[in-house]
Amino acid sequence: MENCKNKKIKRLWALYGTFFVIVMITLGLFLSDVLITNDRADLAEFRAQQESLNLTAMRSTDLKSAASEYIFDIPIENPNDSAVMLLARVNGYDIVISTADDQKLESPYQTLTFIFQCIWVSCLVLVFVFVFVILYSFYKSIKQGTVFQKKNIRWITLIGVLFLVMTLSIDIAKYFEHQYVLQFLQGTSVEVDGRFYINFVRILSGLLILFVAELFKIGSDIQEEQDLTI
Amino acid sequence: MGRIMVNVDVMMAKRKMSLSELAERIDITPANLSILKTGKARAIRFSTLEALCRELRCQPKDLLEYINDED
Repeated sequence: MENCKNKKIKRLWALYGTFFVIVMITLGLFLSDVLITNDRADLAEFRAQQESLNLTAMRSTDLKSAASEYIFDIPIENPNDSAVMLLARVNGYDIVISTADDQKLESPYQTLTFIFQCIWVSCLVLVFVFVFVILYSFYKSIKQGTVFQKKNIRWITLIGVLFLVMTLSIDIAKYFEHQYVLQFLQGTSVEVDGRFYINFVRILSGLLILFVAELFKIGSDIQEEQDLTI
Repeated sequence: MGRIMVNVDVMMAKRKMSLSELAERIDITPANLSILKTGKARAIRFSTLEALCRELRCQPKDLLEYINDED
């Protein structure tokens, strides 16, 4: 029994370590990306060009073109093997919006985008914090011999709900961001797809977390039954 | 809706036995015996019932009673 408990704790520590490494790698990649981007000479020229444009807004979007003429294949030179043909397909745009008059860029979509971006970033940070908390809580519970505790169920449910809120906030923020860009593109030759998309994989992940919480509730009931059997 | 009432306390009083003494004799913790005595228990094992009957020198019917709340 003690050996089994030790194995569980070891597995939990392995999980804790893996999660910690993932967080560190993500943070490292993010920071290195920022630093490398700042150091790149070609981007420095791009930035100088933007400054000269009196840039007041830029939207990096993955808008999908509705008109087929905008999705074209760009041939890529392949010096290694001429028999292999490489083509790059455009499926998104970085749209830069620039004006001398700031008021022209003001839009409720900007505010809404900002609000939902704040929500999803907050949710993401909370999910990461709660995962750390719950892994420690599991460690303590296993040591005490009762994993199916009410507080563990609450943490798991909270993570599931936050995950769903985060997913919806990302999609809603993206939608409003698209709408913001679309209002400037009206009447131009560029037609873009500004429909609302939901990331079903993330939604499914959130629902799976809630499903695990439900399983824990059943486990908690069974444990209570067991504890009250004299 | 009915319920099962546990009359361990009645039998303990008859046999003049304390809760801790009975708990020790039937090899369960006083906390668990208290749960049984106060009616908070969800179920009782045959082994526990057997030990209770042995130590309190009684029959299961003396310890358990069905109460019909509708009556």
